[in-house]
Amino acid sequence: MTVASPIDQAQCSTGSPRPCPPPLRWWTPAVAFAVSAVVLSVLVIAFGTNNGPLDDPNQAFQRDGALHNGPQLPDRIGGIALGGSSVVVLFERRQPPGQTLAQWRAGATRSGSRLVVAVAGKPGTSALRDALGMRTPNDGGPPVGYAIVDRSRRVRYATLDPAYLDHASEVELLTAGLTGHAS
Amino acid sequence: MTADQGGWNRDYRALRPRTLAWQLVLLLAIEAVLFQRYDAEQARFHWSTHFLDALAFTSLVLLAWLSIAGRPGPRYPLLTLLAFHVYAIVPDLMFSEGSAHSQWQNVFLGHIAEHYLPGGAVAWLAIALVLSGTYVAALTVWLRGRWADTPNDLRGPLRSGSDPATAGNRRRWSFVPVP
Repeated sequence: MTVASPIDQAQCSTGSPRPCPPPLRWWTPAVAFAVSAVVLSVLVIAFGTNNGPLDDPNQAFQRDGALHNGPQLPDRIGGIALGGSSVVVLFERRQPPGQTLAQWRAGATRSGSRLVVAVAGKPGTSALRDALGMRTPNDGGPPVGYAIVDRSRRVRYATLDPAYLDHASEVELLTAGLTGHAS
Repeated sequence: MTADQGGWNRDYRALRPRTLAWQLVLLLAIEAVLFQRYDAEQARFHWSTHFLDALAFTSLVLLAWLSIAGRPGPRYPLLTLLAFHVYAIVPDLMFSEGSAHSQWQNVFLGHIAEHYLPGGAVAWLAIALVLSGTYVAALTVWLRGRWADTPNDLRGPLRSGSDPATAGNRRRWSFVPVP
């Protein structure tokens, strides 16, 4: 059984006065579609998302990479002063190791932003989480990720990101993007 | 479904098995690289969404081509899918070069907005499969029509999977092709 027409297409060259058969059997596209649909469905459903316990249930809201015009915050939340300069608020469940955090801080604050680490259970963290609109991860626990507030206290970015340590360059890119905006 | 005498090569050029085969190899190779790149960034969701969006859009283009031109096209359908996928991820390439996403980037097949479709990648999977399935159904009808229009002496020997719509011709299908 072949998917291609058994006819030598050379005998059906341009100018042939007689109708020539197609180069594919009529059922070939349907079979190819069925196989592709199964493979693609498995690929997308089983491997097409990163959906761990600390990830966002709706992946659209995780690391969308765009600066938004979120709500404007008061000048102090949970004991943290806002305004004057942009602020990166890092949400974690435990205090990150000093060396690891130092490397991340270097990238996150390169554009002059301040870094605030909000550890779950510490005073002020819940207030910051609510004010910045941090979403709840799959496991229902406190968020692991970060938010960016510009110098006029407007929330520009808020995302869960359990692998934030690997993405310092993204924070650097986004905080650099605040420059030139009416921030 | 009228046969265009004198234009067989043009009518069938998008369906040549050898051309489709090398397109498929190239498509799979490049998509594997792209998937690996997105996976390394913990961003498989973005690969899925943009690929399925490109597949849905490509299916619409192929369907429109078949409906308007009356023949399958463009000449390289799988490369068309690849081209639309690459077009859809241009904002991600810009991001990797240091430019944050912005709403204007929706011109790239809805690069920003498409993520917010309820149901996410699974919804896009359903849309892509419905549209590509519709195209395949239309192409199947077109192929059956072409096989039905083909003189018996050019159809070749009967093989498994012959068109049931022309089952009445089965005996005559047993001809060896006549040069």
